[in-house]
Amino acid sequence: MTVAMGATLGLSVALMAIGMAWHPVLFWGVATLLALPAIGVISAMFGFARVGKWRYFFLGLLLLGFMCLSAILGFARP
Amino acid sequence: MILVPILTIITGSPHQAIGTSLAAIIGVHGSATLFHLREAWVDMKIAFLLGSSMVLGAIIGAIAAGFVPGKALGIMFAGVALYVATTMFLPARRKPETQSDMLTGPKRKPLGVLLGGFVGMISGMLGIGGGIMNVPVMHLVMGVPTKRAIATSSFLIGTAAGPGAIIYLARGDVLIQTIPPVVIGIIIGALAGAWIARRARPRWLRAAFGILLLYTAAQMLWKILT
Repeated sequence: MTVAMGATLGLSVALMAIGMAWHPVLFWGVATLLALPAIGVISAMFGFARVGKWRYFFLGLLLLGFMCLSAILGFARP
Repeated sequence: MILVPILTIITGSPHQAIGTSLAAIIGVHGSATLFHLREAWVDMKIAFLLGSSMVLGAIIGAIAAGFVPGKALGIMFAGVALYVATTMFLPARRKPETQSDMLTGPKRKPLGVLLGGFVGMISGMLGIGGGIMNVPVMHLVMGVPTKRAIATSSFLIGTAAGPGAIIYLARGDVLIQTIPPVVIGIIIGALAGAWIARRARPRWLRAAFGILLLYTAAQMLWKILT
């Protein structure tokens, strides 16, 4: 989880730093930043699945579902 | 909490300030979570338990904020800022931690989940992290030890800020070009803050934060009401 979140945050900061000089990259830096919580949740879910704690795995799945819901409610409005 | 008034003063729009603040919160609390994960203080079971209600609350709060006029949002934010600033001048409330608190799981889970949803809603609506409410919910209501509550709250804040930021972004209320300097600036500022915190008295730090918060909130109100 630490590695996944650290790599995502590092990539996001690097892309945003480049994006300050070259604007097309900025969007991808922010998009990577917005994906950071989902990356954290998914990697924690893998951890719970590995030790067989399925109740928490499904709680994570529910959390991930709500995150997807925000994107649907945000972008798919009429 | 300081970020929303500062961004409102710069942009003149509370909606854009809140959206940009939520996006920046992800980066700031992401880096804090990495530190807490290394020290193994984050309790992912509690995080997943409260996470869903917090995220749902944040979505409702972010959508509702779209229907609230900027002036009303600014006044609501000022009310919360006044409350937080007041708590900075009062002694911190801590429940004595026993050995059983360390061993047993969280208590009063349904109430914790309900309050988590409320914290998420305030966070999504006003663009604040919610740690000031999250930590007391976990520590005082659910009996989670302070250090674990702070670390878990850090993960939860970033998790709840994400969906809120997406809704603000879709509405066009996130200033993308403002995020990099804010995130990089706050991470550097946090390092400097940690250096100062080791040398200053906690009471003075709390009082200084309270005064700064009151000042920036007053400036924000002046900007949006005049």
